[in-house]
Amino acid sequence: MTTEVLPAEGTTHPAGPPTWARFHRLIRKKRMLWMVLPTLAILAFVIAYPAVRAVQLSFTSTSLINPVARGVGFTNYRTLFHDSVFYTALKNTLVFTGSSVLLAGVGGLVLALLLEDFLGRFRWVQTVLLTPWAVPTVVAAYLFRYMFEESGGVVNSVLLQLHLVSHAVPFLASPQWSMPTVVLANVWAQLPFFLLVFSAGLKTVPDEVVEAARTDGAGRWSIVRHVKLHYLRSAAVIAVLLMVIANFNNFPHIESMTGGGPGISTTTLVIYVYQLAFSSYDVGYASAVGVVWLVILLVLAVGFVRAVRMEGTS
Amino acid sequence: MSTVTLPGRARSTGRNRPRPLQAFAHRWRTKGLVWRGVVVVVIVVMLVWSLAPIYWMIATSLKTSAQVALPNPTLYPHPATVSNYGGLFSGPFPFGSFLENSVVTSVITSVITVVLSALAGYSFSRGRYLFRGPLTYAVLATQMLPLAVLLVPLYLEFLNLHLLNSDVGLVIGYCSFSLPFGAWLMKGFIDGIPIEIENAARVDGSSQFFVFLRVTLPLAGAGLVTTAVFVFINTWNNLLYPLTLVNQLSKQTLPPGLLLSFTGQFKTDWGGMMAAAFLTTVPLAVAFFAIQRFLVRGLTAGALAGV
Amino acid sequence: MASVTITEVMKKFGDEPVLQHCNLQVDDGEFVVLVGASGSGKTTLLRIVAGLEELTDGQVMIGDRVVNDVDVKDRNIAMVFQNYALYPHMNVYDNMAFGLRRQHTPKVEIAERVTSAAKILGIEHLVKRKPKQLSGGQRQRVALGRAIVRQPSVFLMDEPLSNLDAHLRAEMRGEILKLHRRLAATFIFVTHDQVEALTMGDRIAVMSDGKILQVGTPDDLYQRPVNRFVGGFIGAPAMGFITCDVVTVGDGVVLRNASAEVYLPPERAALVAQRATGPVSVGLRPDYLRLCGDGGPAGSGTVLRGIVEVVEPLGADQHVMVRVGDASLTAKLPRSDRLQIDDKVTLTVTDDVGVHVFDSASGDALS
Repeated sequence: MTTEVLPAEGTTHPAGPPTWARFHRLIRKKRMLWMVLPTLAILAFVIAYPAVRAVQLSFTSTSLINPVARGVGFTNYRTLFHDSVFYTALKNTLVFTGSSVLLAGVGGLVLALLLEDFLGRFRWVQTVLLTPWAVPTVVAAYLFRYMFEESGGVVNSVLLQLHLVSHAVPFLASPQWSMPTVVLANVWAQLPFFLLVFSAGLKTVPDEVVEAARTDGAGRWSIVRHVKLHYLRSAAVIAVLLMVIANFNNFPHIESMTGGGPGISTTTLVIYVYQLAFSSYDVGYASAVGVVWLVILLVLAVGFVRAVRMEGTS
Repeated sequence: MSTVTLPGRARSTGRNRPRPLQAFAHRWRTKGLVWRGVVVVVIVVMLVWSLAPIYWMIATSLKTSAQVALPNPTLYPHPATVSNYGGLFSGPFPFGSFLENSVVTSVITSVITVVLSALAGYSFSRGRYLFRGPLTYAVLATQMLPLAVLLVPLYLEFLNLHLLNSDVGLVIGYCSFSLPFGAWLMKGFIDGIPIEIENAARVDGSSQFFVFLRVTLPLAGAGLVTTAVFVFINTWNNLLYPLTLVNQLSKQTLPPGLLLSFTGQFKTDWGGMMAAAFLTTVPLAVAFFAIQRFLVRGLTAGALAGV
Repeated sequence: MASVTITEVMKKFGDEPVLQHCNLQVDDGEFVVLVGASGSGKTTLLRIVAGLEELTDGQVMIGDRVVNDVDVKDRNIAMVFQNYALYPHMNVYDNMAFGLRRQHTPKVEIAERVTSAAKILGIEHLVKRKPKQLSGGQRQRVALGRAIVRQPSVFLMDEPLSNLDAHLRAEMRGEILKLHRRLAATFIFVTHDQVEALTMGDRIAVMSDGKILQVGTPDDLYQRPVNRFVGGFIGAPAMGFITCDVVTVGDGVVLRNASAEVYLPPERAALVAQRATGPVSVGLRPDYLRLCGDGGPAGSGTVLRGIVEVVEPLGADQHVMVRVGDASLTAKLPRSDRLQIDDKVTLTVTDDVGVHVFDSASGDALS
């Protein structure tokens, strides 16, 4: 593996005079490079090439049934500009991602802070609270789908018996309820991740600093607000970034729960792209949507990271 | 009583730290009654919230189809039956094959990812070559790509290379998300290992690769486990790749298997569906609980340090 | 300002006793040092006073208030931690202001107090910096400043100087003493370094294995150690010990083994003879040992015959380790005594205050 890829490193031009020592150093440096090459090779095959192809396809009218590429220029992008489904999907993606991450994040944070006192014999509580994370996404989706059925669903059954509602709520059958229900199920599945990350983050708070705050006269809330939260910053940034990306890309959850429906009330960008490509076979247009989506995600990520950096320095 | 005061440690360990339970008891006593009540209530509510759906899945899977069909479902199966589980293996959908395909592809992907990302993470962490930094960030940034977008070209690519409907193709596909994540996690872990330890081994006359193999890797054990498990969970959960890259029923994994059978076999049979769901959950839950303690430590050392 | 009274304090971690029957009275405005080796329980005792640790039994009073069940934040104490424990995300000013803000002190007063504390400690130019931009010594000053601004009744310091290099440590020692004089507050200072203890404390409490062995002024501890441990712990270089039999010779008493004969003044000798139940452990302060001239032992008649093992030159003086029988003694001798390793030497004692006799079984002082 090493020998065949070494010549590819044409990038290591020595900038100064080609002394023997410098040459020797470069050889040494290259020896560390080979370790990353298998990974790069695979990623080139499964990411770099498809990414370039996706951009290329977005300028064609390629279809899965008739995969003969025909260039159409910016037609796909012009269509997209006037595509109301695209805008709804974009809005749904933002709502789904934003509310899931916010609810699961805040819930995980509060729970991690409450659980911090539960050490020793009570550690099982934390383990139990992490259980939903061990449930596969598709399973969680179907499980909630079943529980929120209009007839025969346990949630409606309980609500009816407690007389909280007069007739069964069509949780997944009405455009009005479908998104909140999908988000609720998603929060159930993802809250453990935040709980885990924040619990781990809380362990990085030095005991002495908390004790210093206590001797400084800080109460429980004060210590959380002025000391602990600051130690959770980097954990929170990473967790939020990861989960925003994961939810932007969340296919199995929505596909299994609603398939994007009813109507297009829970259609997010992933669902839309998937349907365009593999149900309508319109690969060119699907790619165009994907490219625009990629740009949006990039802008969001860069903006987020920059905002965090700015706050960190001020 | 451990009483050694090690200088330079961030946490004040050694000095007569109370056992956890005592610290707990201490704090517990000094906190107000109202606060105690609130904490207990919140935790009980959260326990119910976390476990009730799982209980419901298991309970439903043990019910007869008559019980499942009741408009107001009973809280527990009476009488209980395992016929739903039997139905999985005798019905038109080959759940045995789904399970087998899921296990094979997830395990192989985990193993490949751990090996390759240990190498890559080490290279990213310790390497000294041109464009190491940008290369690192490029690999990490691929995690942000919407994979659904790449799926169409990947499908066409696999079509040409005859990789559709094969475990190999699926594993390669999974690598597109497992490798960047694994490399990132491993870089974080290896960053956290003091380079002095490696230097000591180097001075003793070992080669760089030997140091990596015999010094760094054993120290990054928690990282390897964490990476393997995260990858296993992610691949076990994945629906998009098998759904698109596989179109032969017998080559499917469990998630698309569930999806397809729901539109076919289980249209109204929630008992069978929940049995299939439980079957899909068990391997993941086992993996998860086996290394639950590792995960917290792993995440602290790897993911959080990787920032 | 307030006194601190520790009465019969016990502490167990599980079944393991960490503190046993600790009694200590710290007067208002006094500077008391808790000194002991790692694991002696000194930090635990300090943390109990702070309220960071709960006691198993006994009572702690600050002023005339029993604080056993008073939360840390209501004890009106300030603590300086070994690792400083600065809030990493706050600048120096905010670090010092944190406690005052918790008490809702008016802004103007906070500014006043922080500025004046910063001035006292010479860190006015650093107030805008974050802890990680500071050197160890500067962090130490901020940690002190954070304690000062609160104007607490008691200052608790947990090995605050142990992370500084030798030079800075000496400097900060002086600073803390100056601060104590200036604030006239009660200080409890924990250290494992007996030099720090001797130079700083009005009184010193020596701790070992969770017990307070002796409380006294530095001179008390040096001149009248109540047991072998205190004798060996206080003083540098450390007291050396030889085991001797108590032998009555005529109407006098001599402490003797194969290589040594130690004579004491009659009253002390009589006391030793009366109390000793077996062999005794004789502690010899290095400062009071010197070489016998050719004229044989001077005055007391004490002789210690041994072989030089190590010579540590220290400018005008030298520390010489001499093997006497199976024990090793250190002597502080003038550099003009030219000694080499393996020289056979005979030592004597210049003053019998440098000789302490302990029961070799119990370790208690006999004279």
